[in-house]
Amino acid sequence: MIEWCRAHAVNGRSPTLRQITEGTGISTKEMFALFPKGPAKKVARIAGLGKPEGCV
Amino acid sequence: MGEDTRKMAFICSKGTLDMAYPALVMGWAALGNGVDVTIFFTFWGLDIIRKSRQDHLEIAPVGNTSMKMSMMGVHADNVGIPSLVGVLPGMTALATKLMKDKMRALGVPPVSEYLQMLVDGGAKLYACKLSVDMMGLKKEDLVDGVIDIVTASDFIDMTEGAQIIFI
Repeated sequence: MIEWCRAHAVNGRSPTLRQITEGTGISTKEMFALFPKGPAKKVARIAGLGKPEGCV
Repeated sequence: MGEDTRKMAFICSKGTLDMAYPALVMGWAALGNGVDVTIFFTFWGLDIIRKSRQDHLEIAPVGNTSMKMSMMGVHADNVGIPSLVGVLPGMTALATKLMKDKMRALGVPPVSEYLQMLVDGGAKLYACKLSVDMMGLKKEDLVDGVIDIVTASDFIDMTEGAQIIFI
């Protein structure tokens, strides 16, 4: 999933949470269980990418 | 959740399409920032959690001065939609369709799907008891993500310390 985010980064920014769940098939629930309190931002940090831009 | 977790509580009192999305978007953004989210649905806001209605919310051009012809696909900048045109049969359906199309083009999910995302992200949904009684509804009429039907007093109790946003 981290690799997927790196591959789908736009201008160095990580995809939004919805883009990650739609693109990888990992559910929203699983994402919040794996990375509590702000999954998209935590994923961005681990992937070494900028935080996602967008409201969904 | 620790004591220092920021809490936000949204009160949804309106059932039009344009009044449903602000809570969904802000609630989702809050969850994405590690904020504890509670949403209380009251009066027309109950339509957002009613199984039979949540994907049939509408926006009416009548009485909405911000809805210009440009929203209807006519590039006329500040020209409004005449009220007499707005009352024609089908105008509300047309305005609703156009807004939904624009939302979809931006990758915004429909209300039911968006709300489910919030529930999966840990948002706590509650329905207002007075409104539910007034509209003759039962828990079965509401989406599964709704935790309970509670009184205003219960809501005030459970949102102690939260930032309250009334929509």
